[in-house]
This record gives sequence, structure tokens and C-alpha cells, in this order.
Amino acid sequence: MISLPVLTLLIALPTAGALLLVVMRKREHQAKYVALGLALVELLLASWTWTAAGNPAPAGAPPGFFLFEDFSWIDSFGIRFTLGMDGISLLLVLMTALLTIIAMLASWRDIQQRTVLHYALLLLMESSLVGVFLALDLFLFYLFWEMMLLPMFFLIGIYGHGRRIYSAVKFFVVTLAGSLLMLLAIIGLYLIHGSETGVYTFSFASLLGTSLGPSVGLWLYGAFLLSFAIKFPLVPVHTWLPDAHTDASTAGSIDLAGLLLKTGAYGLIRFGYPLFPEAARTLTPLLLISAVTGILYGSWIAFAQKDMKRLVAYSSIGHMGFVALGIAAWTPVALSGAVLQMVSHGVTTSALFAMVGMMASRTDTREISAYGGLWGKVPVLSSFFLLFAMASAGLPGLNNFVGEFLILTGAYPVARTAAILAFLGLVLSLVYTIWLVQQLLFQEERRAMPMVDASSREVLLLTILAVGVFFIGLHPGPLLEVMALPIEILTGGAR
Amino acid sequence: MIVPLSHLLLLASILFALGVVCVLSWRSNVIMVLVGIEIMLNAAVLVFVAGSYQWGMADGQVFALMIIAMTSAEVSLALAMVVYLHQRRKTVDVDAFRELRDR
Amino acid sequence: MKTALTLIVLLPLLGAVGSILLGRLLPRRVVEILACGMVWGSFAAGLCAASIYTGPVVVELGSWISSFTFTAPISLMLDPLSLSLILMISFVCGLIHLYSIGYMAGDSDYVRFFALLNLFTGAMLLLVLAENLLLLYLGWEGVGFCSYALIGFWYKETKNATAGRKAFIVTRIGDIGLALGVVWMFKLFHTFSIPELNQAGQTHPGVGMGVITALGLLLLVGAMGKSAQAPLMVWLPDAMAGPTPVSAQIHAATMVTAGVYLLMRMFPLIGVSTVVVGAIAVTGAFTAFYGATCALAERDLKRILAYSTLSQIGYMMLAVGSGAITAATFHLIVHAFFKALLFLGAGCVINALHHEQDIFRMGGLRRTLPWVFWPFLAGALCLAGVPPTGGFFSKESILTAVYMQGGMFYGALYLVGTFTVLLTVIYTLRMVFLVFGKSRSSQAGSPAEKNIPVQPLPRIMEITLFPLALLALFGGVAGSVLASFLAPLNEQAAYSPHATEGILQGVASLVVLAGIVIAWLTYGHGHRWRERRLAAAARPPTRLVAFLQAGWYFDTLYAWLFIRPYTRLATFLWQRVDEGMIDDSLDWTAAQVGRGGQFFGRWGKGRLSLYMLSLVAGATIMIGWFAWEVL
Repeated sequence: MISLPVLTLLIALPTAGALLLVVMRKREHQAKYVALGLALVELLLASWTWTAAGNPAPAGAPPGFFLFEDFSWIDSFGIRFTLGMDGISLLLVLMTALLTIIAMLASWRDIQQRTVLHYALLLLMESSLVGVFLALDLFLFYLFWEMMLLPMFFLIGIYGHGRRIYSAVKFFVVTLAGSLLMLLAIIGLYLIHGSETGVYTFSFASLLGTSLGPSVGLWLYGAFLLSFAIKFPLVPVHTWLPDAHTDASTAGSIDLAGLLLKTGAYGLIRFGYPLFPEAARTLTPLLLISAVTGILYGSWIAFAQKDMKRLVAYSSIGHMGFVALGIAAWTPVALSGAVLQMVSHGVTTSALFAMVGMMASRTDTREISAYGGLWGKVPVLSSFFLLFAMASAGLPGLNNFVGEFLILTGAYPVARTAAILAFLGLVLSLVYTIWLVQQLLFQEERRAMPMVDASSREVLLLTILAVGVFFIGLHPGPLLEVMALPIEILTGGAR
Repeated sequence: MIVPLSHLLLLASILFALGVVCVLSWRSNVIMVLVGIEIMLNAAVLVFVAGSYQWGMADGQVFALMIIAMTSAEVSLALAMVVYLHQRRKTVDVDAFRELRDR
Repeated sequence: MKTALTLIVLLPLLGAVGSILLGRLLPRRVVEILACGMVWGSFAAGLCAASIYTGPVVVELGSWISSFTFTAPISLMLDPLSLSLILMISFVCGLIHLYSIGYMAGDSDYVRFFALLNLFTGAMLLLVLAENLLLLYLGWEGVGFCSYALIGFWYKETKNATAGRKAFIVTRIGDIGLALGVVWMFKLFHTFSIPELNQAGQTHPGVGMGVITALGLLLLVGAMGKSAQAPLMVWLPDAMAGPTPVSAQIHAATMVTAGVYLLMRMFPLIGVSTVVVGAIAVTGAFTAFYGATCALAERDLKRILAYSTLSQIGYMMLAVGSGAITAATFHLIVHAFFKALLFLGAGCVINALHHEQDIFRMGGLRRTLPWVFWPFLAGALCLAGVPPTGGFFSKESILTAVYMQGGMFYGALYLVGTFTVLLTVIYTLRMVFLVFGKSRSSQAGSPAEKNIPVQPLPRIMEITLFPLALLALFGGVAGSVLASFLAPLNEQAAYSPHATEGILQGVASLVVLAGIVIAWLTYGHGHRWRERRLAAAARPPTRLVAFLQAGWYFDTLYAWLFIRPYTRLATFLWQRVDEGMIDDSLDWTAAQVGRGGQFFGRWGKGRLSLYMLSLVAGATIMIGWFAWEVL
């Protein structure tokens, strides 16, 4: 059991599944179940790693990582296949496994053509996402980072609607542009470290102590920050998001909003700040401005939207702004809030996108003004929608509140103005959420549209997410505990 | 040597330049391009002959004869192709034949 | 004690969960009995806790959020203030649950109603019993959500849903003040626990009066939102769109008092700042006056009661602002009784008249609904503060406390408060006379006069009125008991000698008497002025009346100042900035890159002439370079 390379397995299993699906591509019906089964196995595997959470770091692992695997790969360049899991990556990997299942369930009946490819792409996404969250070698991290783009590109471009090609290309090119700068920075770091110590390596643990001149550090960190900022997304490099989210299929949106956005935040926490502490400190005001702008601006624009999906997309910008605020503050409480908010937002926004997808598939329209009075027509769906909407608005007792409040409490001592402005975000997020709820669920029915209430599959996936919402909202203890050690190490135990 | 080598090389360069100018100025006309190429080849022949005369070896003369022979063959083939292309397209404009371009 | 406290909060919450999950599967009666039973069980648990109560106690049930220095345990605290409040809350809510069985008898959506009502009760009890501010905030927002859902209960009509939305958003604006205050307090004192905060304020180094003042003002903003005080009071009149039991429970007895409760709770911390205390007093006095003036011109029965609630809570705030916590609590409890009574009575009236809510179309109900009239009259007398009802003593103790503070500032507030008493009497009796009194001519359009049969009322609706009436009337007796019980909280109120108190009581009684006379003359049965009033009501309102009816045009002001710019800016930011500037610049860059690519692409298009030119050019450059190098 101990010698089983769990982390590698976590990455390899979905890819193997995707290949298996390719073999099975003629038998669509079985392929779906195989994909779902594999995703479940992945979830079980990820859950099992939780039991190892309390263990001390294995030999050779950086502090805080309770699972660690290191294989030699391309030694001539100093590239090794290094994977490590600590509390933060555990939560994110778990979320990845869960949301992949949700994405599959949500799109079970929606995809009628090229079905097998769709599920194979979802599995590949899962693989690359888990790789991003586990990689501890900068080259390997970059590899998985880029690998994320391809399945998502196809998910948007093939299975989406509206201006899907445009959105897919925009997403791909914008993200790639940022990532290439990050690649340059990685190579730069590699060379600087090599010229200083004589050891040329891409390993994260080794590169940690590299001493960089102030301007050099600033440039390198800036490149990293840009790449992560595009993924967050932070204003003003956020404009790929509304299009990508709106035009993607339901599963694509779930993966995109629930998981892809978190990779930017994760990268900043894992690599950005530890590798370039002084530069990060210097650029903190920039990050704060961006975060607060995202919160206020994103929420404000969400209110003006006519398309349901676009509204939820802009709300994601607002919520990720909170995460950015928490990271920028870099205190233990704020960072805990940021990581927790990443998980909460993943659950909530996936739920909202899933529900929007459910409604759109029943009525063929995403225009808000076409709906009304859903509460009377589809009570089960409506109750779930109200729940997730209230979670998104930060109602205490539900998940988003805990993360947001931790962030605000942690950020206030170190970034007072930013935190005060972020409080306004609480009102703004309520304004658009409650407007959406009123337009959809309450009021008179605007257009006569027959609707069927939730099927048992839909109830299942919504219940899973609702349980998540309540669990994080009322009993976040286990999650906060598991991330406490890495956060303490990252922030140096500062107050 | 009747004339210094440098004179010969200068004449050859001028001839070559003239050939280049011919190609460039009428670069849209296939026949003129072929004429220009001929002139450039002749300039090369001149250099070969000059070299053979300078060092008293027959290699240059032999090579000059080879070039003349090859050129005749080449020109006849080229002109044959030009006649064929003209039959197909009714034009001798270089740019009219672009089927092998990258799209 | 731990079990009792846990049950107090847990039972209604379990009731809510049970209704949500199983409500549709169980028969109607079972759901109703479950809902009521949970609240009464909570009351019983409260009585248990009261019987074994020996002194303030804190009970920790578990951990909610714990991250590094941020700890918010699930702790409940019982002290005189919370004990008296939870008994009042569970009792009044219990009665209202019973009333609702009758009121909602014709509605098929009862599961949602009772679930939300239970959820609300649980959240409110949690709010009152919370030992730390984060748990209080949980209850605070919980009641806000339930209020939103219940105001918009009959959601098919847009105006109901909009009223709920307005309430939620306005209270959320206030909540930011509270949240900011909580976060700031955490930064200073590193704790959320209320007892610790209250003690820390006095002794903490580096925390000056300015900081305390700011904290107090932030909490005041939070209270303004929740308790509908100026300038965040605009949501309460519109909230009357909800069913009447909701108005009674949430917007009279419990949720709107949460703000006052918050200030009372945190008074040891923020009360040291005279600016804060003065601000609270001014807010209260102004709102009291505002509410009374608007109620005077209002025609809708429930809206009159809503403005009256604003006004009375203003009195409670005024009391807190004069340091008289006991008086505030006393008034809070008595007000809960008589206001709930008035609302429930109004519900009876409205139901009986087929959902007519304009008082100028009512009349003569004294004969037709006697079981409603007498309790309603009792409640009205309490509201008016007629001696010797409970309302008189509570209001009077507030005014005494204000007077005893002394100085010009409090003197002015005393005058405002007393004048508002006059107005209160007038509008209350106006309401009673117009609704229940008989009119001489048959011009009045009340169905009773025209012999249209009145809808019979479920018995239970009328029965529940009586306990409230008794409590309201004889609450005066309880006053002194309460005073001694709550004494530990009352450090700041000035001691009033008996002589002064007697004089002030006399003054108050005179004012009340004057008000009764005025109201009797203007609206009483058989007087000419009543006919004139009724005739005037049939015409379009005068400017003053329109001003008061529109709530001093605050709604219009806010729409012009905040709502319209907000909506316009949202669209502007979306279309002009986000799509116009940022996104378009991205598209423009992409287009430029595309054009550049096309431009360079022309090199490989198959034009032989260009190839030759390039070849020659390249060769020239290379040769030139080499020549340069060599020479």
C-alpha cells in the first residue's frame, strides 16, 4: 500500500481511461458508464489520500508534503518527475475528482454527438488538472499547465454554442500568451540558479532559495503573475472568461469555472509567492487593486447581464477577486480563507452552471427575461437554485461565507482600504444574485414554457453539491485543519 | 596575358550585373528572365575562360564549353516549356503560374 | 442548562428541516402541529432554563470555524437580557404560529410557509443566545433571508417579490457596517466573543475613543438596517406585502428588534463614547418622529402599523441612546406583545373584509367583529401609551431616562419624544375609529354598513389575540420585576428621583389625554370633522399628505441617488468598458496580429517575381556583408 505511487496513479488513471474510451468509441452507451466508473475510482483514490494527511513528510520531500514521489526523467536538463501532495493540493485534487463526476452527470443526456470524445476530454482534463495540483518540478508543472488547454479548447469549440469557435480560440490564445511568458521566466530562473550554484535543475524545492536581484526577481515574478492572473482571472486580463463560460457546454463550464480558475490561484500560492518573496511583496498593491476591482467591477457588471450564463460567469470574476485578496494579504487566516473560498466557489459555481444548463436544456433559451415563476412549475429545481444562489451571495451557514469572512478578517489588518472596499462586494453580489432569483423563480411566467422537474440523476448531483455547501458552511473544521500546516509553512507562521 | 585579369573580372561582373538587372526589370516576363539568366551564365563562362588563361590550364576552357552545351539544352527545354505554358494560359507572365504556392 | 439552551435553538431548526424534507409527504395537520409544537417546545425549554437560572452562563456546543487565531465556536450565552428576550420571542412566535394555521388555511403552499417561519424562529433565537459576534451574524443574516423569503411569499405578484428584494438589499447594506465592525474588532482584540469584547474595550491599550466611536457607529449602521431606522428604513413599509403573520412575527416582534438588541449587547464596549450614544439617540428620536408623521397620513392599515413599528423602535433606540437599557428592553418586550396583537388583529380585519386594506373603506366593525375589537383596542391603548397600560409605563420610562440625562441635547430629544407621543395617540386612535367606529352617513363604503356579509374568521385567529392583550395591558406590573432582573446591565442610566418621575408621568398622561381628545374630535363617531376627513380622503391628497404618504419621498430620493445610477453604471461598465474598451482592445490586437500575418504571408504566395527579387536582394546583402568584412 505504501509503495503504491498514488500520485502518479492519480494522474495516469484518467489518461488511461481516455485511451480506453478511444478504443471503445463505437459503443457509446458503455463508454459513458466506463468514464463515470473511472471518475469514481479516481475519487476513491483521492479520498484515500486524506487518510495519509497526518503523516510526516517522507524523506526528500519539502516540509508539509505528506505524499511525495520523485522519479528521474530528463536528467541532462535537470528535469525530474516530482509529485507532492500537501493539505492544499489534497483539497484541490479531491475537488477535481468530485467535480469531474458532477460534470459527467450534468451532461449525461446533453451530448448526443461525439459522445465518447466528450467523456475522454473530461478525463484528460482531470488528468492534467491533477497534474497541475501535484507537480513539484517547474517543467512538469508547465507541461500540465499547457496540457489543460487542449481538452478545454475542444470542449468549448466542439460542444459549445453561440460563438464557440471565437471563444475557444480567444481562451486558448490569451492563456497561452501568458503561459509562454511564464515559460521564459521558468527558464530564466533555471539559468540563474544554475549559474549561481552550478546545479541546473527545474525542481521546485531546489529553486526555492535562489537569490535574485530585485529587478530580475520582479520581471520573473511579473511573468508568473501575468500567467496566473489570466487564469484567475484578474481584471484587466479577464475578458476571455465571459465568452468562454457562456459559449461552453455545461460540462465545459463546470470544469472551467470550478477547476481551471483555481489553477491560477494555486500556482500563485505554490510557486509565485515562495519562489519570489520580495518581488511578491513589492507587487502586492497591484494584486490588491486588481482583486478589489475584480470584486466590485465583476459583481457590478453581472447585474446588467441578460444571459443567465454570462451573469454567473461575471459572478465568478467577483468571487475569484476575493481569493486574490486573500492571497495578496498573505496572512495565515487570509490564506486559509482563500483556499477555502477556492473550494467553496468550485462547489457553488459548478452547481449554478449545472442548474443553468438544466434550465437551458429544458427551454432552449438562456435569456433571463424569458423566465419567471419557476417556483410554482419546478419546485425541486427552484429550491436547489435558491440554495445555491444564497450560497453565492454569501449567506452565513453556507459555504461562501466562511471563506469570504476569513479572507476579510485576515486581510483587514494588512490591507485596510482593500478590505473595506471588498465589503461592498457583499452588497453587490447580493444585488445581482437576488435579481436573478427573482427573475427566474418568482414573478409571473413571462413566456409559456413547459418544464419538467428534476430527474433523479439531477437530484443526485444537486444533492451532492448541496451537501458540500452545507458541510463547508457549517463544519469547515476538517478542511481548515488539513490545510493548516502548509499554510503555516508558506506564511512563515506570521500572524 | 592580353588584358589584366582584373579587367576581365570587371567585365564579367558588369555582364553579370546586367543579367541581374535584366532579370529584375522584366521579372514578370518569363522570356526576359530566361534571357537574363543566359547573360549571367555567359558572364560566368567569361570568368572561367579568364581563369584558364590566367593560370594556363585547360580546365577553365573545358568548363566553358560544358556550360555552353548545358545552356543550350536548358534553354531549349525552357523555351519549349514557355511555348507550352503560353498555349495553356495565353500569357508569359511569371506570376500567372502559382499552383505550387503555399496557401 | 446545556440541554435546555441547545433545545431552545435546535427545535425550531429541526422543525424547519423536517418540513422542508418531509412536508409534502405528511398530512397537513401534522405539518402544522409539528411547526407549532417545535416553537412551543422551545418556549418550554426556555422556561426550564429560566427555572434553573442562577446567573450568567456560557455554554459551548462545538466548533464552527477555527483557523489559526480565528476561532468562532458555537457558544450560547444566557444572561438576564437574553433570557427575557428568548421567552418573549418563543411565546410570541408560538402564538403567531397558531394564528397562522387559521390565516393560511386557504393557501396550498403551507409547507414552505411553516418551514420558513420555523427557520426564522430558530435563527432569531440563535441570534439572541449567541455568545460570539460571528454566531450572532449567522442568526442575523438567517433572519434576513427568512424575512426576504416570507415577504415575497406570494411571489406570483411582482411587487411582493420586489418588496422582499428591497428588504434584503437594504438590510445587507446595514450588515456591511456590522461585518466591518466585527472584523475591525477582531483585528484590535483578537476575539469574537461578546463578553470578552465588552470587557476588553475599557482596558485595551492603544484603543482610543476615536476607535471606539467608529466601532460604535459601524454597529449603529448595522442596527439601522435591521431595525429599519433612518436612513435605512425604507424597506419596512413595503415589507407589508407579506402575509400578516409574517408582518407580526418578523416585522414587529422579533427581527426588527435585532438591531436594538445588538446595541444593547455591545453597550459596555461602545457606550463609553458619547458620540455613539448621542448618535443612537438622535437616530431613534428622528425615526420615532418620522414614523409617527407618516402613520398619520397613511391609508393602508398594515402600513400604518409598519410606520408605527418604525416609530416605536425609534423609542427603543432613544432609550439605548440615553443609557437606559432596562427601559429599552421593557419597551421592546411590551411592544412585541401589543404590536403583534395589533398586526394579528389587522389580519383578522383584512381577512374578514376580503383583503380590503384601506382604512377609509372600513368602519363599523365593532359590532361585526367584537372578538377582534376588544383585544385590538387593548393593543391600541398600549401603543398610544394610555395609563395604566404596559405601553404607558414602558414609553414613559424611556422619556424619563431621556429627561434625566439633562442638557440641551437630551432636552431637545425629550421634546421630540413627547411630541411624538401626541402624534402616536392621534394616529392610533384614528386607526381605531376609522376601522371599528360607526359612521353616520352611508357615504362610507364599508361592507358592514352596506350589509355585505363579512367573511367568517377561523376561531384560532381570534383566540390567539387574547393572551397578547392581557400581557400588553398588565405588562406594567412586570416592569418593575424586569427592572430589578435586568439591573446588572443598566450602568449608565441616570437615577431618577420619585418626584421627578411623578411629574414626568403626569406630563405624559396629559399629552396622551390631549391626543385622545384631538383624535376623538377628528375621527370619533358622530362628529362633523369625521365626515370631512372621510370626504377629504376620497379626493386626491394634498401636498402635505402626499409627502407624508410617500414616506417623505425617501424612496424617490434613493432611487434617484443610488438605484438609477447603479443600474445605468452597470450597463455602462458592461457595454462601454468591459466589452468596449478591454475586450475590443483584445480583439483589435488580434486583428492587427492577423493583418500582420497576412502581410507577411504575401511573401509566400507563389509570385515568382517576388521570389527572384528576394533572392537577389538576399544575395546582395550577403555578398555586401562579406565584402565589408573582408575589406
